[in-house]
Amino acid sequence: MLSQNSLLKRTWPMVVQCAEAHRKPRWVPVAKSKIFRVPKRPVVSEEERLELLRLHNNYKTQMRAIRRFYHEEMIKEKQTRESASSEMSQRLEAEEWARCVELNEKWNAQVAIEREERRKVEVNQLETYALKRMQAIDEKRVKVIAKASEEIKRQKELSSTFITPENLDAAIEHALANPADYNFAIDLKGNKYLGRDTQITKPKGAASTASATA
Amino acid sequence: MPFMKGRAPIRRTLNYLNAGRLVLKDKIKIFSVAYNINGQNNLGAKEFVFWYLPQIQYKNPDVQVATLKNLTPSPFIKCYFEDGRKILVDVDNKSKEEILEHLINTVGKSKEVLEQEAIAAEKKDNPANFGIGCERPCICEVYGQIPCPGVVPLPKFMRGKYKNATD
Repeated sequence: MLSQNSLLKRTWPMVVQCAEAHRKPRWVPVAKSKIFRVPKRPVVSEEERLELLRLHNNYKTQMRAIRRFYHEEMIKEKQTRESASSEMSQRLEAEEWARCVELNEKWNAQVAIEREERRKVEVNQLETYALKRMQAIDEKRVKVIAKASEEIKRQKELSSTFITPENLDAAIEHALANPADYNFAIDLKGNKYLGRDTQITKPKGAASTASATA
Repeated sequence: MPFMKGRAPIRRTLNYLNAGRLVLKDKIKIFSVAYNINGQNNLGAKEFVFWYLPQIQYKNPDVQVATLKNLTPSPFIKCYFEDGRKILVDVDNKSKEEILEHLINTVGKSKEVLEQEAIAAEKKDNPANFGIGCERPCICEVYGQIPCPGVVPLPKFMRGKYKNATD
């Protein structure tokens, strides 16, 4: 017997008919009173058998013909429907494709124009930048050359005071005659007293103020 | 990837991914974006890849989405169809919104088609539906509904035999 739960868990609706209301279960044996009863075979006369066979054959043939007719009709209908729908969808798709391509080409052309303009601007910018740089480099070079020529001029002017083999003796004599003494001393006020042997004479008032401030 | 880590983690949230508007046509099999990371004219394509590619891949799980980085002089998007056709979209110096709008108009499904598909999907997926071809063949399987009278007899007050009894 089917359980209630299995009926509720089924995937397809079904009608349950119970045939057991008037029957005894399968496992119950034949009743004692019926053990030796032999059911009589039904006797069908030859004429009746032939007649039934004819009728059945007729019925089966006719039913088969009807079934085949409807089946073929269904197949035919399906094919026509499918072909129509596929043609329709193909045409729609082709139209859609054409529309998209057209739209896209328009967009691409627009983008190409914009890019050309942008490229032009960029090239101009690049040119001006390069020119500017070249100018700056040129200016720098000119400046360096001017500086160098000035230096050369200065050195040339200075060269008149250089010590050469001709005036070496005179220079030595001049140096000996004028010894340079770079020693000096500084007092608290920052006065500089040049020379190693210079005598320092302190002013009277200055000394007292110096000691007071110190 | 952890939830709130990395750059713009909102790109990985389900709400953001579901909000993608570009659903490619069924015949498109590969969607490739070529762009450079330098230059003002590549900015739109770069941002498009950053912001919209996750949505596109999420909305088109059967499409191969490829990016070609720093391999092209100017950025472009190329779509390959299953029958060998190609469509090339030049995205030079365009913002990411403009690119997306154009793609929706050309290679994306139109709004009407999307709505129809949504309706069809809803019919199939709606768990409230029942009958042949649905998840549940009969409403009687829902808890609280009356079982089919073929399985469990109806209560007597619902049966005409008892309700309309003359004697």
